[in-house]
Amino acid sequence: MTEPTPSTSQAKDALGAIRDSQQTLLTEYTPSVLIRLPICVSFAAILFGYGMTEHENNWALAIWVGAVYFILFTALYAYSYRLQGIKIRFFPRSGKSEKTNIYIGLVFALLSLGSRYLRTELGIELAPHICSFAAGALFFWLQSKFPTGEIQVEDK
Amino acid sequence: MAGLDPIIHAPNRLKICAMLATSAELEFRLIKGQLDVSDSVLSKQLKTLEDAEYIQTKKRTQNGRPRTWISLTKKGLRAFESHVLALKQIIAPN
Repeated sequence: MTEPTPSTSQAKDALGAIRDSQQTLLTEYTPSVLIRLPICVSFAAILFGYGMTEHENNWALAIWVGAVYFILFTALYAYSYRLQGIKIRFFPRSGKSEKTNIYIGLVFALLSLGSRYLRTELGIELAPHICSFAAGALFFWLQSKFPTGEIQVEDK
Repeated sequence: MAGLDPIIHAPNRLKICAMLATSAELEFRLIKGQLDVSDSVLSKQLKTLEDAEYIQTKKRTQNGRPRTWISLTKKGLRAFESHVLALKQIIAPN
């Protein structure tokens, strides 16, 4: 099954077709912002609660409430994709996406630990506010860029 | 040229693999709608990919209706990625 090597323009067309297919799929079927936003807010609430918690004060409750909402809306996010005929991937398969996820995980871990450490050890009271806002905003941006967890949405 | 896969290179099969690479699984009717082809044409393309072990299909019932879900296998993903790489090398050989 040997075929002639495609010309440069044929290769360009093929790559264009790949990009178009993927981008159309990623942009057309993204769930509503009404599902995406609560995921980011609840994620930020978990980080904020962690940064503010001292022993068993009310902020510990924020972590639990945030976690419940996070799981609920994440399940709704996956379900809304499923209804449209797409099963999303929570753990990416391609090497590039895996690397990106590891870096993102490290950033979230730093923000999470930073929000607590900066407040309790260095007395920066606004640290949980800033870190949780940054984490929520980053999460929202990531949802826009990697809606199915695998391929990046390109800027037009 | 190494990496170029004649099974994947056909336009519809290339688009099918590209779409499948974005997600864990896609439903038959979604792919059909995106390619704008008939059931039989899509089935034929999927059969070719399935015979090459590049994809796998699963039939599940959803709300009492049978649905066919398609996913890219590891072999299929590797073949698709090396095909894309080979296409990029054609455009920018150095």
